[in-house]
Amino acid sequence: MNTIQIKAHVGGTSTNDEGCTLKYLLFPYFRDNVPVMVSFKGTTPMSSSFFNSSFGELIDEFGYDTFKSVVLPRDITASHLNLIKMYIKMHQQNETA
Amino acid sequence: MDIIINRLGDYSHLFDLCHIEYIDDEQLDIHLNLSFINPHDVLLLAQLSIFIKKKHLHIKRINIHGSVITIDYLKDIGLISFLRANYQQPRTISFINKRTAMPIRRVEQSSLEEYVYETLKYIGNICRGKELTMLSVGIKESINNVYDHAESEIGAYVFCQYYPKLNVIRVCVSDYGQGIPTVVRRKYPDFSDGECLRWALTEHNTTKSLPSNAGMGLSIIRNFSKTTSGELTIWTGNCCYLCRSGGQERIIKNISGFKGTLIELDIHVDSLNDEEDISDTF
Repeated sequence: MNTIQIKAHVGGTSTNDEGCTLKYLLFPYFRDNVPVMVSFKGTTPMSSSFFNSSFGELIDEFGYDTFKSVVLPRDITASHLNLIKMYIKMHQQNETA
Repeated sequence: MDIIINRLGDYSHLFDLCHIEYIDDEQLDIHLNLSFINPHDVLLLAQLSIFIKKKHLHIKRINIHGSVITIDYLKDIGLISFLRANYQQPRTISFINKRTAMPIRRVEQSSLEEYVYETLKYIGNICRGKELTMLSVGIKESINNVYDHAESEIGAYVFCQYYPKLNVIRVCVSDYGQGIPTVVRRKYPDFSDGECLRWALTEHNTTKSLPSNAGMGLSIIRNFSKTTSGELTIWTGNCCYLCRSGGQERIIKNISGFKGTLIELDIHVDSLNDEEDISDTF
């Protein structure tokens, strides 16, 4: 299984532009429904802008179930994982509102 | 010209200088009769001075006067250098160990990650083993809001101070832009400043200044303050939002003539969980 190291490919986890870069890196895996490990090693906790432009847009296009099965997080702290889960929940609430 | 500041928050005269058309002086002397200065005071002084020099080009010097203790502190954290003519911000970010602080920085979105990374590294060394997610989120959300919504001519400024005796991290982000009420009133023209601020703090509310905005940033910081013993203060427009221990929220009157937005977040380290790596899925 492939691994994408966010720090190696994306400048940071702060801005919409950085989120777009991650989105385009992950897109082929979503398109082909192929799981990929995503390593958060060396990254700082992501902003909501980064989430919206990366995971958020992929969830919008492919659905949350596909997101869960394709993106396998690695090298992540409990607090960062919980932050992303909170973003996902807020994103889903926004979609149904 | 002399401006005398006798108490914290007494900056209306400095804001007045930002609004008047012409000042017939080449030098501005700010006298601080204060025994203590907060990060938000530091940022207000920094950005007001920068804006005044930008607006009134013939002001060659802005000097700050105060007690030896106050001036030593302001020198150490970089404010005195910040106000020098032709000041160029250092390319690298160096923490100020003597003051347990990160220096005042003008932060662009392109340098945001670097500032957050260095701040987490420095504060992480002091608060070993503590999860500092909200410190990262507080800075990132506040800075992104400046560049998404504020239209600040002088960008965004950040300052972070750790208080060892209180075990509190205080982080402050400010801009000299149009302020939250002005932006919200494009969507809701009849809202008061207080109603605008309450609306902006509510989850999912966004003016969509950019298509990607989803209205998460401020509400995340607010929810964190309410559910921990943290404190949050937001100065914008005519009002000031306060969230204090136990989640008590209120809106009070702001400094007269205030422009822009200033956010100050207190993170009580004792209330933070210990950091741990985890293996899990979404």
